Amino acid sequence: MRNPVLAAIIASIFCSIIMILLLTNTVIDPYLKATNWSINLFDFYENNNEVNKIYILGDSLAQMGIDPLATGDYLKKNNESFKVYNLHYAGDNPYVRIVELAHMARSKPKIIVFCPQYRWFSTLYWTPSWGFYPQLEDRYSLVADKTILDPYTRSLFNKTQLDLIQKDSLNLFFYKKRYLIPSLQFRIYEALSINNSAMPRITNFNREVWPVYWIKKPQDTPNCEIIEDNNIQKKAFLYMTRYLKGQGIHVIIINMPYHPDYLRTISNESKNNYSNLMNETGCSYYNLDSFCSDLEFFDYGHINYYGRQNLTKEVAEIIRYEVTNAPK
Amino acid sequence: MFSLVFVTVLTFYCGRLIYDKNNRKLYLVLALLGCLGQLSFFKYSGFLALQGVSIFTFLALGLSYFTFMALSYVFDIYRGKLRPTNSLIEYALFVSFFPVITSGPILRAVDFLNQIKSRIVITSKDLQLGLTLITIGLILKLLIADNLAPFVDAIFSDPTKFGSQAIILGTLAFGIQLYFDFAGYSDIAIGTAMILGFKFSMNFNNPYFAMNPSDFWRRWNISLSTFLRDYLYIPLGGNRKGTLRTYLNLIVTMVLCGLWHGATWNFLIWGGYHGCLLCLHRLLPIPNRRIFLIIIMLLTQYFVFLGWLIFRVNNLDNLIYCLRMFLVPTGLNFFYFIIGLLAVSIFILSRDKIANNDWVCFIGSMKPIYWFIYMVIAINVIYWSWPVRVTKFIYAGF
Repeated sequence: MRNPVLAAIIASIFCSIIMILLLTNTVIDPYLKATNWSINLFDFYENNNEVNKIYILGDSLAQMGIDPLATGDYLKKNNESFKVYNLHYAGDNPYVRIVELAHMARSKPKIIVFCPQYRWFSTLYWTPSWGFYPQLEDRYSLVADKTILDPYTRSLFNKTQLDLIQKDSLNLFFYKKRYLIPSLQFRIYEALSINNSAMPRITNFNREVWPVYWIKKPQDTPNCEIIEDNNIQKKAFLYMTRYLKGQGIHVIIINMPYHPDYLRTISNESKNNYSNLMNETGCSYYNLDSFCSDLEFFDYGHINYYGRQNLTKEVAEIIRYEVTNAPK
Repeated sequence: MFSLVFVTVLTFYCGRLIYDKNNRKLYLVLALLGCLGQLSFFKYSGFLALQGVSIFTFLALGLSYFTFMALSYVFDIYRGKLRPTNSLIEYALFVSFFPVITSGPILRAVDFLNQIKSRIVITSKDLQLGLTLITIGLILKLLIADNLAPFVDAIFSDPTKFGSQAIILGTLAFGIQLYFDFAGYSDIAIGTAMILGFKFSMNFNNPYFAMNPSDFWRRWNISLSTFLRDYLYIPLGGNRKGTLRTYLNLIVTMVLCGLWHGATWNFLIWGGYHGCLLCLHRLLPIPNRRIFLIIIMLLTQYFVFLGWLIFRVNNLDNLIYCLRMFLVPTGLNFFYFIIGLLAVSIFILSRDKIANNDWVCFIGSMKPIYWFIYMVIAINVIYWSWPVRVTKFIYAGF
């Protein structure tokens, strides 16, 4: 090239593109693969070829309440061979989880156990002004090139929400650059063999849940009483259960236990509305809201080590019963 | 588009008629009325609508900029500083020159048309300097301004939620955001023009090193402040018609400067406030000793940033609240205050080092191999600092 300035421009653009690609592929992508729950979950949906598998879906109550390994062992002892996966998200709710519906169904689990709680259908979880933007962005922006939404599911979201959960590959590539600093930090920590609890590695979804021994009084959690007809969580939940059933997947719903003090704050009307909704799904419904004693909690609904042992056994027994009695 | 065509055609023909010497004033007034009339109609009808008079709310892109550029053309012909161009196409290119149409700087017809008449040559040096300016502009905008924007927006969306410390920090952040946003855009525009073979003067000259309000306006948005000085303040009489008239001229000029930014009360107050600052600066003697440098500069910037607070706040209620928090601060953390003061003092003391170095020329005239390294670093800084949600250029809204 005769003009050295022009040559410098072309070379700098070329080198920059190479650097950007290298950093994204060798630093950011491995970090996200190691630490991002959603990326691993979507990979799991796509690549797990296990035939007899059970998914447990729920929020942190299910995360702390049900041990998938112990559930699987219990079933095995009772001559039912299933691999159980706890696919929880902290703060999960149907409206956000519905984004995974198509992938979930395509991965063909035999049974899906939904572990809802009263709060999912209360104003706390479906106030339209909330918008769910941070939650949708945190969970699905990094898998936004993979999400598949059918027309009904699309109709539940507004444009901003859809922009967060559906992106083309190029936009997703640009989006990843925000993870440069944490991924560099992750790399440095890894090189120095420093265990960084802020960046836990995602290993697999069929693992022992860490023990929780604390016993505390229930926290002052806002009460949630309202279950209304235009409740978007309700729409999403009904659609999810019906869709999965339509795909030949056996769906079980287990209402999670609550601390007795907290349970007393929920009115009978709310409980009835909730039960009606669960029955409306047409799925097997088990209400375990009073299953645990106050010594088995460390807040309004998260159960401790002792509570988890009991609840896991109960859930495993419910699954065994359903497997035995479900229409083949 | 209609505005642009209307202003272009009107000022082009008025310019020729003014040059013909017959009824010069009449055609100048006609051009003025036409340009300012459409500007008022499109820009300020929203303001009237807010007061209950519903007319039409629409704002053309770059309306304020191309109107002022077109006015500079007729003014310069009237003042005998420019011969009208015979080519409507050349003139239309000036009025709609794309790098500057959305956010300035406001070009002078004399500078542009004289350059377009001579043969435009694009040299390697222009290309290197132009690209250096563009990359610096992008870094200022994307790395600094856009990353400060969420913090500023969070505070000023509802400032009544915050105390003095947050309001003061928000105001400081907004002053920095505004400067880097606008200076960034100006650099991009001037750099783009340079690549196309045009050379324009810089629009900013370290405004936060200003020693007094007049000095600030010699350094901030230079194209607008010199436009107002040459075509408004001086024709009004400037400082030639006595002290009182000088003060009045200053206030009128600055109020109109405020209104140029938009038809809202805070811009009106901001303009008036800067008019008063300029008057006060003329009234009060300022010691010229170096020992007072830090105090004078701090005081000047205190008033400038107080002005940015007025500029940024959304409504009068919030303005009153923010002013109270800013002027009578409560609950300030003394440690942070001292750290902040020290940082500002170091910044001011390094004034000569920062202000006297022409970094753009230095980088723009590097040997290609070193410039290549700069470009790789710059492109990477731009890419990695580019926020996922890019905010619009603030001055594009004016």
